[in-house]
Amino acid sequence: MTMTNDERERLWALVHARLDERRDPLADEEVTGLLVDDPEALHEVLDLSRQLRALEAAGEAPDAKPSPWTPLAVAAGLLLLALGAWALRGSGEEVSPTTAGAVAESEPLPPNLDPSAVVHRLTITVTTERSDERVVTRFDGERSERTVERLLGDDATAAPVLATIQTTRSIGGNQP
Amino acid sequence: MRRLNRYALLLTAAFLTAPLQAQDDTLQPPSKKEWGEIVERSQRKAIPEDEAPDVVLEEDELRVTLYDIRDLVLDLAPSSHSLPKSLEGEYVDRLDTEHAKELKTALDGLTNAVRRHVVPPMDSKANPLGVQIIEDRLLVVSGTEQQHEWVKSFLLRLRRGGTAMVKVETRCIEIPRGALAALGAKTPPMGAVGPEHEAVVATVLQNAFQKKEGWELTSSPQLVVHPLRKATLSLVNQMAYVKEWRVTMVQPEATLIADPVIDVIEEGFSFDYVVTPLPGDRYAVDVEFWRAAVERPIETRKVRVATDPATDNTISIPVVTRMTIESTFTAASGKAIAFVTPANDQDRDLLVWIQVSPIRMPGGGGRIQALGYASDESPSPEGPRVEVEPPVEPAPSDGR
Repeated sequence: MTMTNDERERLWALVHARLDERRDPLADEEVTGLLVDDPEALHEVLDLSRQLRALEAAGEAPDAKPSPWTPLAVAAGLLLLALGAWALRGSGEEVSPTTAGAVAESEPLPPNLDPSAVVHRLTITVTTERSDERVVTRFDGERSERTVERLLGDDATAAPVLATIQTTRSIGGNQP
Repeated sequence: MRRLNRYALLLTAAFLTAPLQAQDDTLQPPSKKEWGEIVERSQRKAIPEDEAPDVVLEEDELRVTLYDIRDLVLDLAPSSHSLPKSLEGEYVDRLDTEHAKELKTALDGLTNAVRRHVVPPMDSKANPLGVQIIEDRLLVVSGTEQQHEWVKSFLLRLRRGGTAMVKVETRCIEIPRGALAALGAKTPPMGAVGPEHEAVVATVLQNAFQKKEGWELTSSPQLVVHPLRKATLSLVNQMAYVKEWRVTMVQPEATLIADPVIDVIEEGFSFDYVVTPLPGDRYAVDVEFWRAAVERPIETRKVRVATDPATDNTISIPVVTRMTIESTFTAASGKAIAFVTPANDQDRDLLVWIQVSPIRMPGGGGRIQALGYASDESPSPEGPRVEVEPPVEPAPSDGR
């Protein structure tokens, strides 16, 4: 969607090179760098990887007999898949939120690819104040701290802290 | 790093002292000769040959690119085109008109958006030049290849409708404590609830809309905001109450009277948003939420004042819960993030649900039409302006 044709060509050249090397294309930084802005292409790469895995699994089935045509069949399959991906490249359709979300939820994403929603920073502070007491709970995304203070009135210079409780929690939601 | 610092200063100085020859309606990139003159002028500032800027850039794998963003500036600050022509090329900081302020807001928003969201993130120590805007129309980015690719995608996103206004929907729902866990979401008492719990959050919204007992939709504001600019919505009510009674002597008869001390509590909520469109049909949202609520019924107490021991006077002892949520998140268009936090010290939680989505204007975006594109045509992926990238081949131009 956001890639130029040159970037597309570069992406698929890299993907096929990594596949030829029997390596995961999504472990390649340049590939993920290109994919990070284009969920549609990510979907295509994931589809290609999945179908290749299916091909490999079929080839490793215990009752499968080696055939001189096997390499040709795999090559033909790869060619068809590449042609299919090439045909999809120029569709120019906007990726719907649903599609992006479906990718995030159904596929394990590489760590540097954003899922459909990511919280990068979160701070929550809740203060409950009564006439003689103030309870402050702070959460910084990883840990929470609860402080109870005694209020001494207008003339007091400082409110003594009665108790502080610290706990560590996960931020919740998706994490970058 | 020192050399990069120097380069940043020189680059800025070069453009200040020798502004590009701007035509009436298009900005031409500097020709190879002009760029050579700029570099030569900068090198006259006693920079040794072995510290020439281009060598430094190669060593650090950083490349400086100038992106022509004048079309985006016009989108983000439409009134800036009415600035007097005599001011063209001046720093907006020096101007004091409302138009100039709008322009400065737009430029700051654009610069901050790149600085904050570029992928991979910039290291300000290793890359002191970072992101600058010069002459109100050129975005100067020093970065790696990947960072430049992101910047191109980001600018393309803005040119493809990213400068249009977006809708931010927010819903604040008070729920029974632990309700999310009861619905099957393994979430902490405080934190964020992502799209993985979409079904649970949908149930919460449904319960609130149906006004089930214990589920209350307390506010549901919708804002239509300009991207890259701060938008604020607040609704605050002031509640006055008698905090205490004091004895005061009043003249001329030196009479002692009971004087109530009035205190005021502000209750309500406010939101601050900055929405940044990102490549891939996503939005980054900086949100600051504040809410203050007084528990009701408000506890009261009878007191007696020395001036009139036979009469009961009433004071109120309100319990106020104030909360702030500050967060930065990115979400695909139409995807929501929710934050959950205790609403009080006893039995209530608050769920703040935020969703950002584009506004589809009938007939296409205004910018596209303004630039002469038909509404059903897409602009060139490279944008309507020429990207300035040093060194460049001389551009065909009559006057140069």
